[in-house]
Amino acid sequence: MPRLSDIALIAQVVTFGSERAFAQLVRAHQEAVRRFLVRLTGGDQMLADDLAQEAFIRAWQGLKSFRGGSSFETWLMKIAYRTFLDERRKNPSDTSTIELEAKLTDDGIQSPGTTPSPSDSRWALKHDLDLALATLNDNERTCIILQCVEGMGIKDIATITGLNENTIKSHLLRGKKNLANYLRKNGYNG
Amino acid sequence: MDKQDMHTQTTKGFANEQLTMLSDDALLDQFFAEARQPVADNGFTERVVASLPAHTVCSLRCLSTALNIFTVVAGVALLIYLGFFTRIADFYEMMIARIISGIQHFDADAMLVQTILFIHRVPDMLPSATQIIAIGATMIILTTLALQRFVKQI
Repeated sequence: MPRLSDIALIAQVVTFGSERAFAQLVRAHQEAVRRFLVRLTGGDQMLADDLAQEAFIRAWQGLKSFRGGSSFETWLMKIAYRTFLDERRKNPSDTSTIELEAKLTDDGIQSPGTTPSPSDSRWALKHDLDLALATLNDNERTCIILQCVEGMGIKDIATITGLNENTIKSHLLRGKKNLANYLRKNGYNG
Repeated sequence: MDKQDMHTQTTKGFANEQLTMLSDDALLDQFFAEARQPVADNGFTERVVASLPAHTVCSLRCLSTALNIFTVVAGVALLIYLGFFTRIADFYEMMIARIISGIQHFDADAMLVQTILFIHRVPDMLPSATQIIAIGATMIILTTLALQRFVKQI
């Protein structure tokens, strides 16, 4: 269910077109939406921000259709996911760079030529994260990101992706297994 | 050692240090911990608000104005239909007449008796269900109007 503060802000946006109330909603939820899109786009922060901006504009235009059946954040994530799918349909090359990179890397996790600093292990780990996720198929990746990064439940993942709950469970099981195997093969877990 | 080798070693070294022989879930949990770092706003909200389409705002404001006018007209019409203003005027007229009459014919004994009778009759003077509904409806309309004005000021 939506939070009370979200409901009050949504009511102000729908009734009075309050941009200030909408700004508060964006500020409260931008983190989850942008983080989700960054992982979906394989770590492309700029593309993720563009998509997040587009998603919030769609939310602004369609806020009247929000019925409160799920949380506002789940509703936003659904819009963000659809925005991502639309973008990939329009420009398949924009969102597949990391997948191509992962496929070309025979030895598993390796650094690209644009590594900013070898001592920056945090950056390296983030890059490895995107490479590891790129080894999964689209549905497995989306389900894993939503559960492992955003901490969402099966029901919310079903709302966002439109997939059946049992299908999501099998995607998560298979995805986690593949991801763990891939990580172990590439030096994680000793 | 080139840049690429250094990065690979750093990554694997960090990984080995942090994660040793873990279960699938624990391994993934530690691996994804980095991805759960907070994302700073960095002007994102301002960019979104600046790019909001204007026509939607206009239509919502028009809807808001229309809703306000409708509520006011409906509220006043309902009050006239129920005879609210006439009854208020009658009530004040009666009150003033009684006060004047009371001053003209003040009698301490009669006042005492009337007071005792009044206290005795208080339970019979409580409003009926219809009156409560009518009062409630009026209160709701007035509260809605006040709230709308308050929210608009915000």
